[in-house]
Amino acid sequence: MFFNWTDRIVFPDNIKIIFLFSHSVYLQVTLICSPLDNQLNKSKQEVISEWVMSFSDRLYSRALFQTKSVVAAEDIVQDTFLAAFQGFEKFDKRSKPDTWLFAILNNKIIDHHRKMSKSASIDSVSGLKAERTESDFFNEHGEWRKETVPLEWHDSDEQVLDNPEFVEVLTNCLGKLPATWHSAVLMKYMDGTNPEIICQELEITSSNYWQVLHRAKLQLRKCIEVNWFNSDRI
Amino acid sequence: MKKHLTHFVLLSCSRASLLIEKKSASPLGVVERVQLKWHLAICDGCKKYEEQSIQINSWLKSLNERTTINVHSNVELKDRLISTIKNKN
Repeated sequence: MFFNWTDRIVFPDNIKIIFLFSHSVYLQVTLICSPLDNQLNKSKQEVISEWVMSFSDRLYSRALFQTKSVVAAEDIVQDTFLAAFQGFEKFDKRSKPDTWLFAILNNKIIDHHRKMSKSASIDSVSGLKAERTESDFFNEHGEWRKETVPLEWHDSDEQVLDNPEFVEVLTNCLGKLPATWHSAVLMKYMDGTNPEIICQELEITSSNYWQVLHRAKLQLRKCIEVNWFNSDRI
Repeated sequence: MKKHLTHFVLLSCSRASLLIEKKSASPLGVVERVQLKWHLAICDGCKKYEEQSIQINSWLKSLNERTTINVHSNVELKDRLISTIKNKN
């Protein structure tokens, strides 16, 4: 019953060679890939359980850092792993699992902040976490406004992080950023996540990416300056 | 008009500070690089902005390393997660 369909049709020789060649390439590819396949053939449960063992502490610490609530942090980490379980097929096996998990975590943290700001009074949404625009920092010619032009920072080296009060100021200033900006800054400058993942997870267009980071940095810089370096000048 | 012209050649501060942020991630194009260099030569505010922006990046990086060192281990959470995942299909 078996017959090679290529035998039935007369092909010119060069086409036959292409068939043979492509077959040998296929064999080589499968031979090279087979040991990798075995490694990837672990069940979804096994892989995700390994991820829990390796990364849950770091994820939990980050969630705790951003939400300041044990209950919320635990819920967020749990939701993150459940989302990873459900979306496991979407995970690109060549990329690092922790980068992917942190991206999901950030998304969950943003959801959490959204829920919180909905239940909080309107004031805290429009007031503290207001998205500053460029015109808050620059005049119509694009020059620094008198009240926003960067001032000299004294003793602003790495050692200042040893001061818990400064860490508190820095953390509070990060917390005052709108949720999406907050996550963008953390992903970019703390995790070194690549821009495509940041845009995808935070639903920012790539043309808005630098605009978001720029405004977030402007606001963060200003907040640190007012609250730490020049607390007498507002 | 004069302002427009100088900003075209030497950039405005809002554009310069955006380029400073971009520069920390990837090299700028030749024109942008020269424009930014000239701008920074004459603009004190942006020069400070650049120093401080780099400093903030490095704080955030170290803050992350420090929070990673002070990892809060939550064994109960880990166990709960593992059993939830094992029971899933």
